[in-house]
Amino acid sequence: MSLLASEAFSQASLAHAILLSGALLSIGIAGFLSRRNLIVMFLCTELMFQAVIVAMVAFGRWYWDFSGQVFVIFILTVAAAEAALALALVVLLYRRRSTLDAEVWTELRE
Amino acid sequence: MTPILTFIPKLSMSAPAVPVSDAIISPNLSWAGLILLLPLVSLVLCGLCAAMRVKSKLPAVITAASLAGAFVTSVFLYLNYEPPGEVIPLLDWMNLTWGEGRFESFTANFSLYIDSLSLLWIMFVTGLGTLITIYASEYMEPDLGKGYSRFFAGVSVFLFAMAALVLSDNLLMLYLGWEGVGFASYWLIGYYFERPAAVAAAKKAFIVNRIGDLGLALAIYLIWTTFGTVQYDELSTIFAAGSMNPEFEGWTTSAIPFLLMLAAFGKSAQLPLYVWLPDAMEGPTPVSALIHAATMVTAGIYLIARTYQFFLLEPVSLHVIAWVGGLTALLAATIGMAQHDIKRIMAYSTVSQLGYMFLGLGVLTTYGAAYHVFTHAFFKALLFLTCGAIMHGFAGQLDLRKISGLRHMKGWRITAWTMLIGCLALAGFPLTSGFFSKDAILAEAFVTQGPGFEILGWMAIFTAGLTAYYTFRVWFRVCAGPASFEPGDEQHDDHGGAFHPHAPRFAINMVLVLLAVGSLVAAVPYFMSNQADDRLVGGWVADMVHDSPARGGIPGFSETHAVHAIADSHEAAAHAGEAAHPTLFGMDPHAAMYWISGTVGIVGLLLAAWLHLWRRSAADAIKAWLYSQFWIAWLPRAMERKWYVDEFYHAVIRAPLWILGHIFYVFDRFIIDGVCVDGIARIPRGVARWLQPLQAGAVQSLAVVMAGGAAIILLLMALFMQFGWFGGQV
Amino acid sequence: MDPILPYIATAVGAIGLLIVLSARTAPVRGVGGLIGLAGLAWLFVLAGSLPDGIQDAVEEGFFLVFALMAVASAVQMISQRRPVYAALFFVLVVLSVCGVLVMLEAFFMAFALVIVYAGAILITYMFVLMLAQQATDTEHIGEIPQYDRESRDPRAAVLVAAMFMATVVAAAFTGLGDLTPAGDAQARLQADAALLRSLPKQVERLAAKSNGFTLNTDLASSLRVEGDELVLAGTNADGGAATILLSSPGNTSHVGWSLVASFPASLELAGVILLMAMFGAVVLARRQVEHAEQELAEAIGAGRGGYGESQEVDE
Repeated sequence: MSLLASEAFSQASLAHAILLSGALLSIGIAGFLSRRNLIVMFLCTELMFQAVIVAMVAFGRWYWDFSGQVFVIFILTVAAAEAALALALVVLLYRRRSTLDAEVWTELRE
Repeated sequence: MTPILTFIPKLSMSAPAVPVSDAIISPNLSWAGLILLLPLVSLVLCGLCAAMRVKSKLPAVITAASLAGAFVTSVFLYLNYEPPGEVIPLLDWMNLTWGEGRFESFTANFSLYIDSLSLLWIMFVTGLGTLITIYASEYMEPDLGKGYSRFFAGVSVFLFAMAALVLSDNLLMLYLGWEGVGFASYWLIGYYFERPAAVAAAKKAFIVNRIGDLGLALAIYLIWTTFGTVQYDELSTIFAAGSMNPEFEGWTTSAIPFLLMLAAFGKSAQLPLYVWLPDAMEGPTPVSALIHAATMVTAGIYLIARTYQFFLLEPVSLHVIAWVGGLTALLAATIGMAQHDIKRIMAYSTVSQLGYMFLGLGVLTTYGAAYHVFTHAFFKALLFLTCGAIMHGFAGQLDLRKISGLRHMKGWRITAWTMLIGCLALAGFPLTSGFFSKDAILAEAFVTQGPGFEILGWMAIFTAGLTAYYTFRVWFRVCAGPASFEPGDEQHDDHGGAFHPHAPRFAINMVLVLLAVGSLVAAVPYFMSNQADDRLVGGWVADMVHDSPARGGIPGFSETHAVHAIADSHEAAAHAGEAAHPTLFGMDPHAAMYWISGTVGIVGLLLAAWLHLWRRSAADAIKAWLYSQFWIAWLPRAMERKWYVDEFYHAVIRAPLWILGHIFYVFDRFIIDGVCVDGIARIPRGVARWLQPLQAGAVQSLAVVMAGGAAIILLLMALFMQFGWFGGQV
Repeated sequence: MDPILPYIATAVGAIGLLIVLSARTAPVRGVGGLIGLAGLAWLFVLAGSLPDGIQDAVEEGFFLVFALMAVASAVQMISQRRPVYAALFFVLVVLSVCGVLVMLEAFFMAFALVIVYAGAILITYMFVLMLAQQATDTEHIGEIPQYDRESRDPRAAVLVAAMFMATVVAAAFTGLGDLTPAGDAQARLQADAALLRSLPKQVERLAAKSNGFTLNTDLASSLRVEGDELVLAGTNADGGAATILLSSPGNTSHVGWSLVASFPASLELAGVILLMAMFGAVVLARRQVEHAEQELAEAIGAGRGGYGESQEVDE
């Protein structure tokens, strides 16, 4: 049944998966908040998606419930849509200012 | 056991012969309030003059007129006065009641308490105030249009406060006046505020007086807690009934006189608080004459006379007063001998004479003290005003080595001869007013039994000789001898090239003559017959002390008149315990004192005449010899340096306080300000500096805020759950 | 276990990340990466001491390798100065995550991820990167722009990230004990049986593979779990009762069935989202194409005029 010998999915394994997920999420957040290149920022959001995927699958594995993996499919969908739209927007922004620097866009300031 | 102790039970147990407490409440005499009101009006008008930059002598006229009005009112009050005393309600001030009991109410109104003692004081205060204001109208001429209005406003404030002090019917209003005169003194000492010395002197006077004021404040508080009232008439009733608060009877009745004494020593410049008075001479001379010689400095004597009953309860306090007074008199006289500044010599003589007055209070002769206050007010004001006239005429010259032969100079004769009269009175020359008043004190030192009072008496006699010497040192140096002078350094522009002393004109001369006459006439009351009680000695002044709490200190007054024969009027109740009347050279002390003090005075006078008139070179030779002999040189040096008292205070009190102050400064600067205040203030600044980029509007800054907020909330939830804070419920 | 230790480990990892992000030179960055990885490894070691005890060494080893690779690649990705390298490291992250997914028995998702992410999405990114990262003139070819060279306030970013990590740590170290136990082998068999009951055709196909085996008409009763095996009861060719053993339907079947059976509406919505994204991309791209030539000419002619102006205003 299982590819590997282990049948039981231990609490430690779940914790490991969750920690991996948290690490990826945190690194993604750190990158999103610190990198100034718009494209890299969006790459970081993709990284956060990866973290969510790991968490979803790990919990699905814990409960032996495949809804987790189903949601990964939805995440893929959203990621693809986001990539299409966001990258189009990035290119648009780049055309405006000829730079990918996120700091240039300060119109949200009062 | 001293005789005073045996006297005290009689005071508190037997009903007083004259029930002072039955003071009549006389609202129909409320016109007496003019004494307080007129100086106030004058103050307001002087303030208006200052605001409108009046350049004439209008402020002087206003002040002189209002003070004259106050004096006339005082005289009318005296003429309308009926023993034993009157309370004149003016307006309500404090009227607190919070219960039924005796100690559950507090009354202190603006009411005047008119008895003979306050009348005596208010008459010479207002009278001298009027005269000195007239004098000042000419003396302050150089300041016309500058500080002229300010000066007379200060005088008005002083007269108002002094009147409040003297006429108050309770201790709280007295305290108000007490602080008021202190403030006026500060105002007027610092009149020449451009001079650092004047500012320092004003601060010194104010600060030293605060020490005494603390004593007065504490005393008033203790009096209220012990006696339940601060009003004089009620206090007298309580003394008569002996109904003090038993809760405090143990120690407060002992503490009160010492606290009052501290207040009196501060205001009247006695050891150890006398140091401010010589420096106070930085003020204009009329101020020195009025405040620091004649009136304000006698407030301490007035206070003790007014609260004499408290002192009779604690005889040790009277011994202390006597010794402090005698020592102050001697110390100040020795300092005065070695000074060269005539105004400063007068200041030390004032301290010395005030010491005599306290000696009088201490040896149970309030009459003598009051009489000396009365005569001293005239002749010392006169001496100060002559000094002021010289200073005024010679451009601030006060060094007695640099002016000589004043009586030979044109226009200065009145000054010289009136100064002679003042000097005679101060020296206690026979038949002058000072002679009689001083004798009244000196003799009692031999009559009253006390610890070392006889030594004290001889010491005071010795001091009297010194007084005569240094007084006539001034006169012989300045007024006698060959005419010569050196001008001072305060020359006015109108002198042009060469300096010409400008002799005093009509106003100053008139005041000098009037005061000289007053100094002579002040001897007359001693020979007047007693109106209130013909068994008393001391004439009019004794009368004036009689209707007051101080009457316990009049020789001849007795609670039990029958015991003592009227014939021997010196056998007073105060001396009831004496087995035999002490004698001096086989004579009655009073009679003997006439001879002794007269002789001592003349000896001092002759010594001064020899050293400073006939053989001025001898004086210099003696001085040089004294300074050359190492075993004695310290004495004149110490006298010239004022016994190093200022230096001592500087080292013992100022320096530690200075160090302490700097420690506090450092603490305040770096701990309180640096760490507590600025440190806390820096926290939001630092946080703001750190958070500032978040507000720049950059997309990522907003993302940081958003993500950070979410992270904080999540983390808090996680921590709450993990550590079970708030019961683990989120 | 002392509840403070995981937080300290988190902080160590955060410090390493901070060094990686703020360092200018490669050796320092390497040291920072080591510190960060050490912190993370410490976390894993701590997790290994959880009550469940020692895990199967191989599985755990693979998992750890993939996990560490994922994290290291992620750190490399956000610390690379050149966006192209960042994208390439992201591919590595995706691949590592796929390995982790295999460890988690999500085989279908692992391969789907490779295809969709590494294959499709990342290619899009690369295209956009090439489109955007054009040098304005020949002198600046290969030059890394300033906004890529310098991080923007890494302290705040790392602080926020560390707080998120701390939250996850709190959940991993304290919250997991409350979860209901993982499905054991029996539960999995039941789940497989339930899936096969929902798929009668597939069961029939499986049955048809065995010669002479005839299914009972009542599939629900004939498919049952006996012991730790999935048994299909029926009749054999001679009419006697017979059973055949069934293998598990597999991960893909489970996911597919779950998708269509449990989330049909969501599936439709996902389709709509993709459609709308396509529309949006087209609309944006059309506008871009219209203005691109003109704006590009302006940008080159004016020498990055708009950017320079706005920077002056910012300062």
